[in-house]
Amino acid sequence: MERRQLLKGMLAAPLAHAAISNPCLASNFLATEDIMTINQKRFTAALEKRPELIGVVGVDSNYRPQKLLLEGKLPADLTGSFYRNGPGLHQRAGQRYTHLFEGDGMVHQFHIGNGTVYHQGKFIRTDKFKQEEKAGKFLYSGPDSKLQNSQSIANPDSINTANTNVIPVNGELWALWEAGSATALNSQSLDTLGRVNIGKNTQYEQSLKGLPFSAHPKLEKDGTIWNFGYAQSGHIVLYHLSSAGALKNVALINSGFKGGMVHDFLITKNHILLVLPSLKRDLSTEGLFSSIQFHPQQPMEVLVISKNTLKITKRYELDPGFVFHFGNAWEDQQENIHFDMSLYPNSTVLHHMASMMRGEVNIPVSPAQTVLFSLMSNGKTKSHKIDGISEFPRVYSHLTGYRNRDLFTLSSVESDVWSDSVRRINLDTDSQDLYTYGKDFLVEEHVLVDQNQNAKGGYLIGTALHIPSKRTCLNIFRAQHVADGPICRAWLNNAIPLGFHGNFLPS
Amino acid sequence: MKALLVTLSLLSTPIMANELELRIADINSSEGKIYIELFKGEQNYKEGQSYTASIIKAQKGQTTAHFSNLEAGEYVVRFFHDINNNAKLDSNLFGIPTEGVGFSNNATVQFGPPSYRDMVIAINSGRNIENTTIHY
Repeated sequence: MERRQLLKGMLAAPLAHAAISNPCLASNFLATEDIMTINQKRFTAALEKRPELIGVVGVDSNYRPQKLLLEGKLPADLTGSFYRNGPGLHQRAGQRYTHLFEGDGMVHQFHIGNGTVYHQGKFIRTDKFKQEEKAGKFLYSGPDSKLQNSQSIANPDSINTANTNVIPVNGELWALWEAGSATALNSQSLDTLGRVNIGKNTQYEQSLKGLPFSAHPKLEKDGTIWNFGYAQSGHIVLYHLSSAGALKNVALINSGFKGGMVHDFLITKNHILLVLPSLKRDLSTEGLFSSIQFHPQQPMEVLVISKNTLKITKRYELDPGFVFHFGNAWEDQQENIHFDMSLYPNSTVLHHMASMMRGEVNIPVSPAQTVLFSLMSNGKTKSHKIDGISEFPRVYSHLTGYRNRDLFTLSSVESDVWSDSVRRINLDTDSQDLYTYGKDFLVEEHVLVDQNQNAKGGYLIGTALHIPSKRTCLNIFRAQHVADGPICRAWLNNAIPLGFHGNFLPS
Repeated sequence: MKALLVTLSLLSTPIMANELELRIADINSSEGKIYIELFKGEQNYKEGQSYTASIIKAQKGQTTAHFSNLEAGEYVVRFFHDINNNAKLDSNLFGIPTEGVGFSNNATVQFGPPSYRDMVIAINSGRNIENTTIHY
């Protein structure tokens, strides 16, 4: 299981849109041919031979509401909407983005209630999307794709695709992209309401305008929102918001980290954890993601930050590695901090996501593995590996920041091209409760539904794309009985583009 | 003496009678003002030594600024829309402008300000017209 193919690592690797404030990013590009047109041609040719690429073709129109075909029995106590976000449009007018992280965001809603499941999907109508839709072609370079004669990119929001995650906030949805502002949506119609200025009506209205608001905010049990935003300069802004999305506190720290990407973070009862992977940017390389290089001699650094003061209180070093995602962190009575990460031995997965956009799927990539870390109060660290491939870790949401016995992740058992499994790991015993969809499925993030806040109950739900029938299905598991398989499956008539992250909003 | 003055006048006219008509498009609001700076030559631009500057009222859509008595030569023009009338270009905590900015030669911002070479224009004898856009 050491060497896996590209697509698996990809799915296993999710999003990371990186901040884009570096002046050299798209400058001095001397290509004599249009890379995005070449990319489109290569991908189209590959698609004929590789049906598993169906998930990254992209679409060019919304999905109208459709009632899904049910297999099994829909639980009566499961009502609400499962929202997912991801890049839905990768190509326009014969040109195709060069990296998976660049496509325009599309939000999907699976509404569950009255014994039925309905699906709809809509593009997030960012300024960029509206302009390019009207023009019928791309007008802006992406973080990695160089478009000849690109329109001005006056700030990261000029190319904000809002394509990474979606969270419910105060009756709205916020579609998230890690290099710029959140974008508000109507939670029922999915219509776009506009960019969110986190500092609106505060003294920070100007200073927070357009600042990155990462795609992985952490919500406490009472709805309190914590988040961060990373700039290429190494500065990181920290946000503390009320459950209604109102700013309560904000601070800027200088991490000194210039690796180009900090995708996710963690909170405990009293602290914020920022993990800085073993990356540096090669500024002579064109394109943000392309410029990010793994440095095997560079330890990962953990910044421990007080939630009260928003200041760094402690630093730890971990062995070199690369990470996108964490499940959860918590602290014990001795003030030791414990957390998990889906840890990669290097950053090949990031670079191979560009290969996939060309239709190349045979490139080996080193997958991630769940590792449990402990940051001891005496300054020492401990780690423990869990068997199997791991990505998209989730926990019961009401336990965010507090001790979790169970960790839920995707995995891969049979497939050499993508994640094909979902599992619950009992962290007390290392035992795994695993269900394998099989090679025919491309399995996406599964999230917990714990409206009763019962850490020994609830449901685990997620989507999977069935390659042979070219259809996507929503799958519902009993969270404590994953190996039993889905108790209900709801089928679309079609495949929808593979996405990144989502969340469930109970009715 | 009179003949000398006439001669001097004729000689100096081509040097200082050059004009620039700067047309700025895509202004998103009539609130506030447009601050415009002209720099003559690369060295002055790098040192931030403006040749002349002007402040005009913002006008939604397009507006025009006039500069006269310019020496012929290479120039760079940069401008911003001070929409909230605080007499400065506002930026966020990461230093990214939060008000509209624009440049001569219709140079674009690509994750950072354009280079001198992207912005430079020539002011020639007589009337010069420069069409450019502002970006928010």
